[in-house]
Amino acid sequence: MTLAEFARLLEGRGPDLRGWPDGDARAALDLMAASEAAQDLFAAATAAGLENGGAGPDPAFVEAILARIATDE
Amino acid sequence: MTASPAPALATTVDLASKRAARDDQLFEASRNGDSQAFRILVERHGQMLQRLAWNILRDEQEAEDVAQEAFVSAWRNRDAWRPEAKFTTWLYRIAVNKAIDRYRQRRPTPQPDDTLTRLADAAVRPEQPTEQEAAAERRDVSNSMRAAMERLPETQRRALTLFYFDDLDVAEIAQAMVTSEQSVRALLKRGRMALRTRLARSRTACADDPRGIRPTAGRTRP
Repeated sequence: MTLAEFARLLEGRGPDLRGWPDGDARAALDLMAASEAAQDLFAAATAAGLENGGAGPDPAFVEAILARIATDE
Repeated sequence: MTASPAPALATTVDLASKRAARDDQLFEASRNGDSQAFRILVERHGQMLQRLAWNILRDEQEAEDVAQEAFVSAWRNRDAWRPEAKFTTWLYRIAVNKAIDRYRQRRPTPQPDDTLTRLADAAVRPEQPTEQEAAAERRDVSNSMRAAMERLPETQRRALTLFYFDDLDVAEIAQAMVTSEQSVRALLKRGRMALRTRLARSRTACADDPRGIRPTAGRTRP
């Protein structure tokens, strides 16, 4: 899969790879594993599809991360 | 008026000011020991990281785990970030890579598909065994082939896996591996040769087995 094909599929199908045929989803993952440009396209498509971008994560999620990094100190 | 340098932000502004600060300022403050600044980054981008991972993993709990791991990894590798790089670009790449790694870790060992079964057929004896014998032989050869593939160099194994298990063609593999089609053909050729050699050794090792796999007449790939 080329970057251009990936961009076209993202635009047509959206970034939820669950909705992609298995072969295309695997090819997309292989491309993203090898290409930061593909990762950036995927992130941009995901951000565009986020509803209510102002909503924060679950507080427990935040606390869990902070607890983990606190143990690194 | 110009923005205060990030290190000063960590110590001189209140929480409300921090919430209005840019990502790069907050992360720079985090690197200087301001855990509150990092908390704001987690609150600001946590949902996006979970969604990124969820789009790949199809599992809410795993997506949350990956998002956590991405933030922790960003924290642990905070000195690797350069202010000239956009913070979210860097952070999202960490999350995507972790989601792909998680996806591949949980992905079951590929089972022999029709292509591999045909390759396995090439190694079983040409005389007509019973169906049960043939099936047992194919299983043996397929197991041997998987074991042999695991011992191949990474690039050969990846090329063969993409070709046989993921049904990609040479051009697609070249794109995925960021290399030329000529290199992919060479990798596939060397990989097949190595597999043939290892399968031949496996057959030799099976010689005492009454179901030992014997070489067949030459068969070539198209």
